[in-house]
Amino acid sequence: MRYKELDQLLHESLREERAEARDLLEGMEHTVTVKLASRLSGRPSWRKWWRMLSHPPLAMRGAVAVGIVLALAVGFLAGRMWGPGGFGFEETTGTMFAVAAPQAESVSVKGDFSAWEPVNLEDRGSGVWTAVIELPPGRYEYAFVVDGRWVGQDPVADEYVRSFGEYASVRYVEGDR
Amino acid sequence: MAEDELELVQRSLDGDLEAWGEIVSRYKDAVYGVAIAILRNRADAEDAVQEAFIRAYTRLRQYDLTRRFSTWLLTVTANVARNMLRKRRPEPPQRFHWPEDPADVMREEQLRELVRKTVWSLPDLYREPLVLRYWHDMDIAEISEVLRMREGTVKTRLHRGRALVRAQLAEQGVMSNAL
Amino acid sequence: MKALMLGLTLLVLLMPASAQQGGERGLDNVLELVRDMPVEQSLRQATASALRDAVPAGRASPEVAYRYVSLARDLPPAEATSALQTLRAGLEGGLLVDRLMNEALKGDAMSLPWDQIGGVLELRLAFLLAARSEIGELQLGVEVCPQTLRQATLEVGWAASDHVLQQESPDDVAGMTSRAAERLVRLRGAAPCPDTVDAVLEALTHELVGQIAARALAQKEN
Repeated sequence: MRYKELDQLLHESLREERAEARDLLEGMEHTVTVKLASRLSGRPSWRKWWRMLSHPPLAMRGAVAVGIVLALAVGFLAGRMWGPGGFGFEETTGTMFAVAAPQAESVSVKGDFSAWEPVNLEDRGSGVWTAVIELPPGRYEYAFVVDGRWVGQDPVADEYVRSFGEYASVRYVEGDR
Repeated sequence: MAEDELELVQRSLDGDLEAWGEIVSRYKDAVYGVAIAILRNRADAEDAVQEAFIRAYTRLRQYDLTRRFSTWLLTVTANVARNMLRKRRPEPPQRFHWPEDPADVMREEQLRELVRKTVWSLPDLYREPLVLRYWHDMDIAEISEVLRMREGTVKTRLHRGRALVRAQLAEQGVMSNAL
Repeated sequence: MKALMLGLTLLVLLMPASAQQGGERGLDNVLELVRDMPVEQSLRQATASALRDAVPAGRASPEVAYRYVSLARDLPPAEATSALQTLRAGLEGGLLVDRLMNEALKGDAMSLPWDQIGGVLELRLAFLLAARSEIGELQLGVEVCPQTLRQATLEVGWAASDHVLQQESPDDVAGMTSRAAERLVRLRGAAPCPDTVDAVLEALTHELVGQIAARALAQKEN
């Protein structure tokens, strides 16, 4: 089968799929806007929030207290995780890479250990994206990519380098002796 | 970014849901294409489309205006679809059962149906870029961004995906494997 | 000593085939890519031959080499030739080439054009070859571990080229030397033979580093 024939076939086949989807998707605009409208009307304006915080109804007090505890807990954990010799969320012997990027859609790390191919980080839910990578002892250059943007300076890196005008970070992994 | 598209985004940022509705209308087809490429299931893809537009709206403030809007929106979609995939219970690998007598002359529409089924039974690695390419003639750069792979990898996977489809069809005597 | 050597030899021979095979399989994929490159046959053959020596000897990882050659393959013929020549020169010079290739992949990850990447690579290569020459001539006074010595040489050459690339003056030999010393201290923590690293550290004078820089920069002029 010639290349062009297969190409055409693939186009036509998927075009059929698209045509069928048209029925499925009819009214999507309406569904989305209705759902958004109901979500947004449930959200109080900032004035309402202020009033609520200064005189919270009984049910709210508990929620606020829990919220504060949670925020402190995340901060504490994050600090432990990022500190020297900090523990990760799971038992592991690898090297942890972490970025705080609460609104990001995608975060990855690229480095010597992956031949600069992206290794995806996972959002643990508190806006802190992490990955643990097993690294034999040595020197590793790397950088994060947050929503397509190069982030070359990792606060916990051992060193920064600049070969091409942009920064990259360096970590040294020691051997055990 | 197209001028009127920029205006729609600005209006959406100001809370104009009708403007967002217009964006949904323009992009739902493309968003569905990405969702189904990843999820392979129509009902799930429909849910993903809804979720993607809702999520994109709530994150509109984080959208960088210098980036192409469609690419950003499709990246949000790919994330939503992948999250859904993770939560779904793992399915057994799909085996497509070929018709009993493929040697018979096949009608045009039967052939297209066969090709469709072959595409959907491809492994994720090859199916995703292939569907993105042939659904919307998406270019390599955009596929690379939405699926988060190097452009070289996209090209290689498209090449192999096509080769796999061709090989499957040839195996069934539907087409000759000669290039 | 003889008994030890015999024992080690036996150990290597008895090593499970899979451990050696892993590298072999990866190497085949790289060689396949090299064969397909749109460059002169002599360059292809020389590179393939150099890879066949370097990979089993641990001087090049097949995964990194694969990505590097893939990158080169996507370039127009002139740049592809230059990319492959750099790899060949590094391999034939007995260098550890992973870091050099990773540097190119980093530049590519930053979406930089090849002529920018190629320029940096050439500078790096010049420094690495110069370091190997100069350090190779030293009498280090200990029984060195060859692989650790190669790593130490790499760190010195790399640090010196970092200095230049970060726009510091090549005349600031003291700065270059202290940067190299820092890297060697780090290497001590990760290398299998710290004694070898110590030997290089001891030999690391301003004079030595100055000679490396002079040789590298003179080479670049050619």
